[in-house]
Amino acid sequence: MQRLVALFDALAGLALALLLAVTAAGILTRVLFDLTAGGVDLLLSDAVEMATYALLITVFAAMPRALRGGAVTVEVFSRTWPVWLTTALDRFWSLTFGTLAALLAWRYAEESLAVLARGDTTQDMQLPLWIFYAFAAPAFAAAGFVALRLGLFGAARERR
Amino acid sequence: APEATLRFAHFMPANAWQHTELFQAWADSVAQASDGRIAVEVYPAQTLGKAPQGYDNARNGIAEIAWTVQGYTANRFPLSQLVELPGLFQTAEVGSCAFQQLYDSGALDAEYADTHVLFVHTHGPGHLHTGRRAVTTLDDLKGLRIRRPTAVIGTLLEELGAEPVGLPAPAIYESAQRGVIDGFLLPWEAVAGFRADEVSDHHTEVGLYALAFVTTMNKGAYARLPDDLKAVIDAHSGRTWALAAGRGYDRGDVGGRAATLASGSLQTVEDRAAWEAAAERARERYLSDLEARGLPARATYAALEGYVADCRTALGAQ
Amino acid sequence: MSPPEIGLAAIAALLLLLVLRCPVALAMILTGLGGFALLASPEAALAILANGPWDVATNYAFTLVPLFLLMGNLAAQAGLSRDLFAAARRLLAGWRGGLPLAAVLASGGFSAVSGSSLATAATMARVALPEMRAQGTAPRLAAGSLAAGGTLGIMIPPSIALLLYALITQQSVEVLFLAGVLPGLLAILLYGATIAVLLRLRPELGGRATDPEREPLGRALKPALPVLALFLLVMGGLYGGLFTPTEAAGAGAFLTLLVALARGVRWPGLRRALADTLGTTAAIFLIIIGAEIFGYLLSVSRIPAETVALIRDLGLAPWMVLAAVLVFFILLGCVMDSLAMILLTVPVFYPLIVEAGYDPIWFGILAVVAVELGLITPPVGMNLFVISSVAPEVKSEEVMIGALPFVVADLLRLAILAAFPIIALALPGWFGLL
Ligand code: NA
Ligand code: NA
Repeated sequence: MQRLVALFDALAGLALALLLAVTAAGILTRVLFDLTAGGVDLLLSDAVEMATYALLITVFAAMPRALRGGAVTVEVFSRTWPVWLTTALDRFWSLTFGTLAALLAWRYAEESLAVLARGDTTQDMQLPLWIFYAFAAPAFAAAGFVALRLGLFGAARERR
Repeated sequence: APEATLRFAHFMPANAWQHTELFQAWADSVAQASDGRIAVEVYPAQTLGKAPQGYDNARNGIAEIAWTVQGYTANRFPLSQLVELPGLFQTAEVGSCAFQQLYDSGALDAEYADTHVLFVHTHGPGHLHTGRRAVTTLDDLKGLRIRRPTAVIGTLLEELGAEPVGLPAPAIYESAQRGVIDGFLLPWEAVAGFRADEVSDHHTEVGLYALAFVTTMNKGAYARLPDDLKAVIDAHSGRTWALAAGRGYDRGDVGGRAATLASGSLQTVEDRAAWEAAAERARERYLSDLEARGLPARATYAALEGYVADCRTALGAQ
Repeated sequence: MSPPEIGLAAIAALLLLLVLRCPVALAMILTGLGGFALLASPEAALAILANGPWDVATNYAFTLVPLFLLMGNLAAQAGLSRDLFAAARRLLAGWRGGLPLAAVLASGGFSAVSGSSLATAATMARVALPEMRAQGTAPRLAAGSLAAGGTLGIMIPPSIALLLYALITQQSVEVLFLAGVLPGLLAILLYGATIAVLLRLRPELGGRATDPEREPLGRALKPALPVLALFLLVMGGLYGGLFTPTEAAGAGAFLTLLVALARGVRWPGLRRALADTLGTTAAIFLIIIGAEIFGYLLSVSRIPAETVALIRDLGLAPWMVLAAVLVFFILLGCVMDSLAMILLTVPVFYPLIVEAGYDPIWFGILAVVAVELGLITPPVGMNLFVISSVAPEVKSEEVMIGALPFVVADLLRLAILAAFPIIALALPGWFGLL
């Protein structure tokens, strides 16, 4: 499971680096184009769309990590509750979160097939849109797996 | 209490004329015609779903009715987007009339199989608005970064020698101000809406394209209505409301043109033949592209041209 | 049940789930879906479950969030936080209580390259706490000044909280960023005054005075130059008409990367910055997704519109509406996560405030000050938790007590900003952006 999260972390890191590179390159090529009065034309006309889909990969690839204990919880009211109760509640919410993520994985897989059949594309680069739904599906499947495992076996065992 | 409540989602702001004069007017008219048995709640400004998901949201019941731009989901409504091709018509009324007739002919049924379409329409001709550089010839346009509204129109910009740039509409203002783009395409009606008049000095009136719009309803929500209420919805579908939308856009263009030109300069094209040749190449590219994918693009386009001619006559337009 | 009743029931259920340790994002998703299923249909609820993450992940404006987070984390890896603290220390050398003051000043400086309060608090605490401990500063004063200083992260631009407010209300993010500058400086002043008053009353809290050797001002401030340069380049590019806001975030992260590389940061440090950014990004986007899904329910429940109608019927004076909203913010801030609070409450209160005739930019600043307060008010103050986790040896009660004087300072600041809108609006007006 550590490796699964690490794999998606690596993907998210790559996408974030791409987002940074695209944004920076967008500015640099434009400055170059304007300084040379159009002489050096390396313009990235699709920079906005590239950045948008890099964000999509970053966000979805971050979901396994988010569901492995990255979710913000309000703990103040339960401070004085017995440990068995808070542990049971935490596991229950993990199971619920995992189920929702699994549901999402299934929805995105279905959507991916529907979009593939229709042939929808992105606006600028004309990339097939189904690819991005097809990325969301395993990302949420992994997030669901992580959360369900946490719910079933608890966090203590996970740390070992 | 009403027998049916229909949530109508669109993406224009609540102070836009579309919200009050078109969608709220439609809602009020439906309520009145049904003696209050149908209530329509209008949700502006993407408060019930984002613009690109409008069609799907009506399909899966997030909203019972949605108004959206077909071109926001590239390649999903290829035959509908034929109306975007350059030079077909000069007013939104004629464009909407012809587009609705094309829809009524059944030629587009495959693209809307999963919802119940109420009416389709277009906006008026879109023009070119630029910052520092005035554009009157294709030479002026060469290499300029121009924001394109949809992929189909991106092809046209390429043929004209410009650099098409993809951007969400709300980003036009900041991008033009920073020189990320040198200009953008919009009908007169929309220029002031995005404060785009503040970041464009020159306005080349060429009539390059018009967007396709659809107002569509969830199939289940329509099927659940009793027959007499279905009849009310039917009476608020088709040509009457397509024309109402088109006329609204034409009125918007008149006002928007005057307001925009109060602080900007009007340019007219000098080498019109060259522009028309470029438009012809873009049209050819799109048509042969669709034909290659097995779609009856040429036949549909020919039918559309016929409807435009019919509508011009019927409406007494130029 | 009528739509507003279902909406109110969902809000009540949301609060109950939070008490039961349900993660904030999950609570918003569950109650949003449940309410929507009742109001529309289960199929439609399933559809908004899929729409939520997609809406958020394909929104170009959100690219600012990871980029500004990355900028702050790279700045920390490059040692800019350490340098800022060193500069502030030297500036205040020889003063009793110089260290807590330096911590506030350096936090303000770091806020100029960090968009998040939690990241600012965590970064500055790692740098400044050990030194304050060594110098004998009372733990509660050390923790309080760092928790309060950290809140500046979302007031001094860049700010993720102001970005979210701009997106919800369709206001310009650059105008909001500019409006946050003076209120941020006012906060530094008031926090400084708070420390001075505390030390006047209880001199022993300050520990030993810092090393008395004073340096010329120019030399003392030298280590702070890279941060100042980064801030001026990024904000200068933004307001000078070179970058769009997203490009400013990208340029900021890229320039900070160059600084980090020039200062010898290599793969392990870059990896650390990337990992920290991803962790925060994951947590923040989960909450944004939850709020997006809950937002669908909030819309169809018509609670925002009904609240406006109710207030109009009551015929309250505008200032009473504003006061009521701010009091509600402060109370909610005691128990709610800061970003979730903005995402959930602004859609409801914004129409009220506009209806009452108030300036939306100014209200955005007030809302963010209220959110900053929430970060340091017990029992749920995220900055307090951050300090506790960086310094486990300081009792969490000590941290809470230490933050209380700064809560008073923030209340005072909220009142000042409410009374004098010009403080928030002066800079945007001067730049001709209003
Ligand atoms: Na900041
Ligand atoms: Na709090």
